Amino acid sequence: MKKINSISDFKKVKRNTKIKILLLQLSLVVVILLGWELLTRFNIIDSFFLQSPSKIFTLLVEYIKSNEIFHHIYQTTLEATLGLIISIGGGIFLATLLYLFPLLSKVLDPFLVLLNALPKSAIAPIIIIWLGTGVKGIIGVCVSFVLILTTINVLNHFNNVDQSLVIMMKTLGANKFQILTKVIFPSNVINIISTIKVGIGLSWVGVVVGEFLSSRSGLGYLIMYGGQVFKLDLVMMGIFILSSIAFLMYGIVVIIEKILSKKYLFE
Amino acid sequence: MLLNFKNISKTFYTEEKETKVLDHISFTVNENEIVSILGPSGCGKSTILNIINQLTYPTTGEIELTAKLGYMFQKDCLMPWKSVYKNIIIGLEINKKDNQENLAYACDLIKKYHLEEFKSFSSKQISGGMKQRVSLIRTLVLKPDLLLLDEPFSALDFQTRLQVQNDVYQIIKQEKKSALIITHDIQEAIALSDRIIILSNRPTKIIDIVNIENNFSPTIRRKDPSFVEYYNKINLLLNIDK
Repeated sequence: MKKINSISDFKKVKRNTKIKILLLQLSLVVVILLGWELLTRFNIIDSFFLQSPSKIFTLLVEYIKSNEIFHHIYQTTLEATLGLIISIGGGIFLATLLYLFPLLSKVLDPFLVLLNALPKSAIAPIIIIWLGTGVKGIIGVCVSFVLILTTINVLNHFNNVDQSLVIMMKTLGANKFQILTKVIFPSNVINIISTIKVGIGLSWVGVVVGEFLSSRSGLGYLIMYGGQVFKLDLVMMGIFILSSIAFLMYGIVVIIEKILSKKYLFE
Repeated sequence: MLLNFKNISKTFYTEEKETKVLDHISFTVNENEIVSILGPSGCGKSTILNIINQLTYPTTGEIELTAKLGYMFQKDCLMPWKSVYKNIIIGLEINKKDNQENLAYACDLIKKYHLEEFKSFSSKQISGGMKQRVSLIRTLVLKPDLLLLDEPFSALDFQTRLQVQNDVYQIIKQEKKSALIITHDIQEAIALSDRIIILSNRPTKIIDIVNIENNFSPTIRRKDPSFVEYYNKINLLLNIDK
């Protein structure tokens, strides 16, 4: 272990640790892929059940060359993003409403809990019948997965705001709306970001469930179709692309969080 | 006269019992005067404050209030996402009084009380004592006549507390404001007040009102021989009550 005697030492040690972790992570990926490839290549595992990475990759290249994949990616990403935006916006709106009217909040509490506990995939067919089998229906399913959870989460954060700040605002003569915009919202910026992080995962689940039920394009459709015709390489390619995009979205939110943390993180 | 508490009693009711908290309390606060309300914890000091700011009402008795109120709390209640300056002018913003004249007044106060160089600092970055000074100036910006200070120093460590007590005293006197300080700290009451109202345990009556016969600043008062005399006198009064 190197001794730290200056700021530059400290920075160096910190950077080295970071690089070490990144290298280990990369080598882990390589080991897994290589092992996987070898196991299937030498038929230790039946290559029907576990398609080899090289085969999945070749298929991906094919799909990219034929331009077909972009259409599916676009469709699913659009649905998931819109679903997420509607859910987060709607969730913040509903939470604000419930925060402003505590009586309404108390009345609706058991219903929210019920809606949240309900397995969303069970109501997905109904939503698709209501909204149609197109993009609208799938976004609807996605929203049903994310909206209630977001509302409950955000409301909870709103109610946990430091009450002494609220009282201080009241003594300065602030009305409810001013307390909302000047205390409640700013003190929950980071909390809302972490709710979005949870929401990203759920929104992809929602979109894929929606596409499973009814669609003629999208990554969920590809996976579903691949499963039905026993083309497991197609299924695994779909899963690979899905997780890559979800990871990317998550990364974008983490960057936004980092920027906002400078101002809105208090501990 | 800014505040007149006339023969006020307050009883709280729950399903099981009634609790008499205040029992015929009368006192006044005048212009340019710092009054402390001193009493054991749970004696209804906060109830007095809540009656003054009309969060609750007296069961019997009457309150006359002609002053515009300002508040300072135990916590500094600064918004950590705002700069020192933005925190100070938040009251002006809320009341839509952020015109040039008032903003200039805010800047005057900031300069006068040595916060100029910290103006653009985030309120996360300044010390606890400075935070309390900022929170006092935040309320002064709205030009109150009477400041209500609810245990304003009890969250600070001892050294900082002495410093901030002195600062707050100087600011209140210089700005010619009146203040009502709620506290359970005998030394703090003696160091800051012109008059100390001593409360008993529940049901709370006024045991005595002690006038402090000097105009020294808190730091000098603490060194003055009379400080110990006042302390012993008040301590005795509170102990007799027990």
